[in-house]
This record gives sequence, C-alpha cells and structure tokens, in this order.
Amino acid sequence: MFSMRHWAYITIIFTIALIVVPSLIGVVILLQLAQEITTSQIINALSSVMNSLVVAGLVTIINILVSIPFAWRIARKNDSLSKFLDFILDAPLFVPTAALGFSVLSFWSSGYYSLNLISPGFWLVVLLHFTFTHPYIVRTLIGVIRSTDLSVEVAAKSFGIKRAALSRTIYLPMLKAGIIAGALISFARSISETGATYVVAGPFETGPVFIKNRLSVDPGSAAFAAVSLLLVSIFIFFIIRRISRRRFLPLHPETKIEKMIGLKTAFSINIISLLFFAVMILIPSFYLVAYLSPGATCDWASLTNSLLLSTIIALAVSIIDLFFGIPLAYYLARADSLLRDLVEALVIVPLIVPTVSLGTSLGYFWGSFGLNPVIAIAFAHLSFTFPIFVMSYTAAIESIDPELELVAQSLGADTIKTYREITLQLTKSAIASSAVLVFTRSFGETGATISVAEAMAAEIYTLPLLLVSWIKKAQAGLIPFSTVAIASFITLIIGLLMMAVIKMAGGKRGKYE
Amino acid sequence: MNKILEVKNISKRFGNIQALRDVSFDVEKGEFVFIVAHTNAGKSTLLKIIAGILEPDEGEIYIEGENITKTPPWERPVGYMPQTYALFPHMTVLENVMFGPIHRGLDREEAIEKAQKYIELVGLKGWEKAYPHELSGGMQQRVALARVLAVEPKIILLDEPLSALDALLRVKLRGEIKKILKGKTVLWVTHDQEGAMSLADKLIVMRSGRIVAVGNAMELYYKPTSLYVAHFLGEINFIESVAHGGFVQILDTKVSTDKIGPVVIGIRPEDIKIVKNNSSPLGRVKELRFVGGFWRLLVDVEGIDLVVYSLKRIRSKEVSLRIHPEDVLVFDYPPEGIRRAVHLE
Ligand SMILES: Nc1ncnc2c1ncn2[C@@H]1O[C@H](COP(=O)(O)OP(=O)(O)OP(=O)(O)O)[C@@H](O)[C@H]1O
Ligand SMILES: [Mg+2]
Repeated sequence: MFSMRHWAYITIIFTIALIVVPSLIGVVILLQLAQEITTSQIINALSSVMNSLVVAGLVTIINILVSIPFAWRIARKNDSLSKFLDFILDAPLFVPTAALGFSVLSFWSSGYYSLNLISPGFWLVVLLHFTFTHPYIVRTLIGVIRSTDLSVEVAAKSFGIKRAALSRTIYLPMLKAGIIAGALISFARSISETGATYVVAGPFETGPVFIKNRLSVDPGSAAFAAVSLLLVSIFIFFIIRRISRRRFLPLHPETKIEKMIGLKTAFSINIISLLFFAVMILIPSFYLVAYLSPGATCDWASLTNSLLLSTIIALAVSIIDLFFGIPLAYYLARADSLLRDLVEALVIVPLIVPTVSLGTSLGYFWGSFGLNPVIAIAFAHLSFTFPIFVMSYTAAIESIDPELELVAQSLGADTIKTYREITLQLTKSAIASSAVLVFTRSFGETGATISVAEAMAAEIYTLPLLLVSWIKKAQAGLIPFSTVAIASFITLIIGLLMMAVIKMAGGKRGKYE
Repeated sequence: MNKILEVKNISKRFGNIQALRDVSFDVEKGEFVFIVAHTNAGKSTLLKIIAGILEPDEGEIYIEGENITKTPPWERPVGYMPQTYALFPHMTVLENVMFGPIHRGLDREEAIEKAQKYIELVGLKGWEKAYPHELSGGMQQRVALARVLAVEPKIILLDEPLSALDALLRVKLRGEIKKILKGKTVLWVTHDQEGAMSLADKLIVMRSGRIVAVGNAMELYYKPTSLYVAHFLGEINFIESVAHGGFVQILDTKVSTDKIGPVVIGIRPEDIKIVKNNSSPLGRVKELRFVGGFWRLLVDVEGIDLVVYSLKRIRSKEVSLRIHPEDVLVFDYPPEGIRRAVHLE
C-alpha cells in the first residue's frame, strides 16, 4: 500500500536527481577551473569567505533577537496592525536583489535626498543583508507560532509563571524548531547572496562578491573561494543542527531579572522591533520609490511581459516545491536515521552555493542537455527555493506533537489519511507562509537567473533582470530613474496582491486559535 | 481459557537504553490487568508496541491467537489512549470521537451515532461542539476515553490515564472509569501502586524493562515473591537476621522457615500491633506523624527501628509491640545488599 514513506522516498530521489546533483556537478565544474593557485590567492579567497561568515553570523543573530517579538505579535495579536504587518512583511523580497542593493545604497549612502550616513563597505553590506533575511526568520517563526498549541501557554500561566520566565521556559523551547530553521535559512541566504551585495560592497569583498569579481579573470581563485564557502557553510550547518538537538533553555525557577522585566519592557521591545522593521528594512528596501515623479512612465509592454514570465516561473516553481517538499519535510521532521541527516545536509547545499556560481554551473549543466533556457531558469529557481520550503515547513511539522499522529493511526487512519486530516490541518498556515517565501524568492531572484541566462547566451528578461537592465541604463543616463521607480513600485503592488491571495488560500489561522 | 492478548518475549532497545527485556504475559477476555512500575521502566514503550506504533526488536504480539506483530496500527483491533491524551486540537469533541469509527469503515451517520453513544457514556453529553482547549483536564480525559471506546476495540490500552489530574479528581475518576469500562478487556499502565491494587484483577510488576511479578493484587501484597515487589507495593520494614535450626526470630516472635543462614525479615507496618501487655517487648517512640487517617510511628526496639501504623493517637513515650508469626515474610539475603535489591531505577 502507498504510504507517506513511499512518497517521501520518491521525493528524496527527485531531490537528489534534479536539485542536489546538478548543484554539486556545478561545484565540480568549478573545481576543474581551479588550476594551481598561489598562497596569496588562497589567503585572499579565504579572507573573503571569512568576511561572509562574519556578516552572515552578525546579521542572523541580530535578526533573531528582533524577530521573535515581532513574529509573536503578528501571529498572536489579531488587530489591524498585525494584519498590516503580515501583509507588508515580505515586501523586501519583491524588490529584485539588484534593485534592492541600489535602493539600500541610495537610502544610506549616496542618492536622492539620501542620508549620506554610511559609505559602501562592511556596514552597508550588513544593513543590506538585514532587509532580505528578516522576512525569512519572521515568516518561519509565524508559521511555527500559529501551529503551536495554545493550551501549553495557558497551563503554564495557571502555574503562576510570569511573562519573562514564561518566555524562557515555555515559549522559546516551543519556538526552537522555528528559530533554528529561520536562522539557518537567513544564514544561508546571507552567505550566498551576490547581486545586491555587489552593489553596496565598495572595496569590501564577501565570498560571492569575490567570486563574481574573479569568475572571468581568475577562475582558479573563484572556484577555490566557492568550494571553501560551501564546505565551511555545510560544517557550520552541521554544528548548529547538532547543538540544536539539545534542550538549550534550562528549566529553573524565575530569576530576579525576569521578575523585574514586566509588561512595560515587553511593550518597548515591541516598539523596538517595529522601528527596526520600518527603518532598517522597509524604508531602505523601497527607497527607490523616492525617484518616483509625476508623469513617470516606462516601457509598459516589456514590463508586462516580464511580469507575466516571472509570475509563471514563480508559480510553477512554488507548485513543484509544494508537491515534492511536503512529503520530504514530513520525512525530515519524523524520521530519525543516518539517511535522514544525510538527506537534510544534501537538501541545504543548493541554498549555500553562492547564486552566481550556482547559476553559472546550472546554466552549463542544463545547457549541455539542450534545455530551453526558461525551463533551465525554472530549474535553477527550484534548487534554491526547494531548501527554503523544506526547511521552513519541516520546522512547522516538528512543532506538532507526534503523539497526535500516532493516536490517529491507532484509531484507524493510515499514514496518508493521518497526514491529510491531522498534520496538514494543523500546519496549513505554515504551508502558506513557506509558499510565500518560495514564491517571493523566485519572483525576485537576480544573481542565479542572470548567470543562467549568460551561460546559455539567452536573451531572457524576468522581471528582476528587466529592472537591473533599466537601472544600468538609468545610471548611464540613458533613461530617467523615475522609470525604474515606477516599475519597482508596480512590481511591489502586484507582488503584495499575489501574496495576499496565497495567504488567504492557506487559511490564515487554524480553527482552534 | 479465552486469551485476548498474548505478549511473547518482547524486547526493545533505544540506542544504549534497553527499554524492554523479554517481556511475556497474557490478558484474558474481560480482565482488568494493571502494569505497575517506576518511571522509565518501559511501560509506555510496551503499550506502543502492542498498539503497533513502535516495532519491537524481538518477540511477538497475538490478538485472539492471531499474530499481529507486523500488522500496521490502523488494522489492529486495539484501542490506545496515550499518556498525554493527544486530543486533536482542531476538532470538536464529536469530531474527535468520530475519528475512529469513520476510519474503521463506518459511514458518517453511523459514526455520529456511535460517537454520541460514547460521549454520553462518559458523561459529556452537551459538549459535542466544544474544542479540547475549552475543556478541563478531567473532561479532556473523558473525551480521550470516549474516543478510544468508540472504535470498540478488543482490548483497551490506557497509559497512565489519571496522571495529569489532581489527587482528588484522580480518586473520583478512578472509580468512574472502572464503571465505564465494566466488562471490557483493559490493560492499564501506571506508577500508582495504590490505584492499581484497588482496581486490578491481575497485577504485573515491572522493573527496568523486565517483568518481576505477576499475580492477584492481594496475593502479591501479602506474599510478595521478592524484596523488590514487597517494597514496591507498599511500605515495609526489612530487618537483617540469621536463620538457624528452622527458625528466625523478630522481637519475641519465632517464625519457622526452611532457609538457613543470612535472611531478611519483612513485616508491614500495619501488621505490628501496639498492645497493653507488659510481657511484650518495649520500644521507645522516636517519631510520631499524622498521615491522614492513621498515625505513623518510628519505634526503637532493642536497637532495631520499626515503622508501625496505629489508628489511634499514641500519647506515651513507650509502647509494647507484638508480631504474629503468620504476618512475617522471610527472604534470602540478597547478594547485592538490601538497598540495591529494592532500588527503584
Ligand atoms: N523514542 C525513544 N527514543 C529513545 N529512548 C526512548 C524512546 N522512548 C522511550 N525511551 C527510553 O526508554 C525507556 C522507557 O521509556 P518509557 O517511556 O517506556 O517509560 P515509562 O515507564 O512509560 O516511563 P513514565 O512513567 O515516565 O511514563 C526510558 O529510559 C526512555 O528514556
Ligand atoms: Mg510512560
């Protein structure tokens, strides 16, 4: 009889064949590029990798701190502010990364009415990375919080545990899966992002920027950096996974400090996380809109075509991700074996490979089969969106008590029916959040898409590629910036509307909330 | 003999932990069987294996003579109620209870009818539309019970069904559950010895994954087969002694025995009588504590400390004690020492 397990095994084969192997073959192609490289090349490559790690680590830690209260508020308070934040939250992901880099640069550094605060370099890279990693952590956390049973909280409160201690002993352990998954996705995104970072880095070189700079002139160094980045990241992922298996917040009585932290502090934490979102994330992401001027216009036909192309790709990618990702996530959440750990490590790989090198190698790989470039781009999008979906949804399933499933089976439901009637029902909103992440990621991706198109010598304009080409033209003075601004603005509005539809389809809240 | 369940040589290991070792026992039709053991003894693991949601490493499970070791849980005629209740939070009481019947092949109408019958049986009529989080602990427990009853299994497995409730409710529900489950075949797992002894037709005592005694509750209490069982089922005095010439002596009581050499004498605190008779050995009262309903004394007699229960308050500093030979248990002295022999892992 067909069971969840069979479905999961089929998925594993799919994942390995279509996602992991092509990405790994890309790495092998890169390795072949590496001729004998000198010690100084090695040192340069490694220091860029080091830079990436520092940025990714810093960004992830700060993100977690500000995201927990933020996600909590959105998931648990059902007022209009929450609804608005839920709606606007993913917005930065709709700005194609190259445009995002330009926008952040304009806001903080040099541009129209700009702040002129921070010049390109390390800190600007950090600020940029906040904008596109923040939504991942918050989305993943919201999915987990909404899937969590409220009764634990109520029970704990009835034992007289006060707010701060409640966070440590009850909430944080409940959110552990979500925090870890969100952190891993955010870390991986930061480690591999190329398109936007390139714009704001100035003389500072992260791993991917280093790779992009050397890919044509010094492929040996680039390949060495790409492989080191990959290995170091896999190692860090492995360590985080290991540590996270342990219970990390001890159960001891309320401490003095916790007694002092009252509602007032919680309130100001909320304000801080809201301010952070507005000033560090939202405004910089959309600063491009400042270039909007009355009567601005653009090439509507190209814009419509690109919009359609990007939507179709993102939709197809999301559906395939869901179809294969659901059983795989279920397997990862419930199995406990060496194969499981191996599959998990493999699934993450395409997320960590810097998008430029991923795109280039996938372009060569699928090109050698004579694949249609649009389909090749969709495959590339599958590789880096699939891990995002799987990790984020796995976290949601992990937060569901497995005993519920076991009881359902014992009452007479086989594994598929149990999934359909118990697990799925309890994780609907998490599927919707994860789908939002995947859709937006595909919709706004620049680096890998450009590389695939270049590697296959194809003239393809997804929406981000169109915007990038317009930004370049605007910088060269060929077209006004207002063109870019209006195109970005329209992209944003349409993107947000599509997200609203997906979220509604997922049913925002479970019945019992 | 009408065996419903036969458990044969079940073993289960989790990494380094041997959760079950060669466990075998039977449950007969209509029997109320209790498994009592300390925490982590493998009780839940055993029930999960019978329910089919865990696979044993070794051994077999038979239901009415049929080997079901490889049968998936949804095809087993077994009702399993987990320690946590695990009510489906997104379903109403009615939907929770209907879940089993629907998946066991009934159509909607029949399932609703059956669910309502059992909801009524557990006394929750009128609460069909409520969600689990709207119910109290005791009510949730009844929903879980109704849900497992509604599949009309051949045997019902209950994993500490009362442990999440407060003491008063526990006593109340213990009786009610027995009434609700009247005539059904039940395997009930708990670490609460008193509860088990008051309800069980048959008692199985486990220790660290192994069965150490099987029998009728009273029999096991008064004629325990080992120091461990004697200690586990209720408070008892152990006194080291030596048997010779077919006798051992405790206070002035001589007890005949076929053991020779070092032995352990066991005597329950309620079997030591406080008497007015001056010829009985005199002891000094070292401690006196009211434990609800009776008094617990610690008495030093001739250098031996004995725990004694008394229904009446004792006001004097000294008491005379008498022990009847038939109340005295004699065990071989355990090679590992008394402490380790009765240690609860
Ligand atoms: N899935 C598992 N993985 C690893 N070890 C387990 C697992 N389930 C149980 N164990 C271990 O097996 C032993 C027996 O566990 P089990 O839950 O059966 O005990 P129990 O008698 O039901 O305890 P309690 O009274 O606390 O419910 C314990 O040491 C436990 O830690
Ligand atoms: Mg247990």
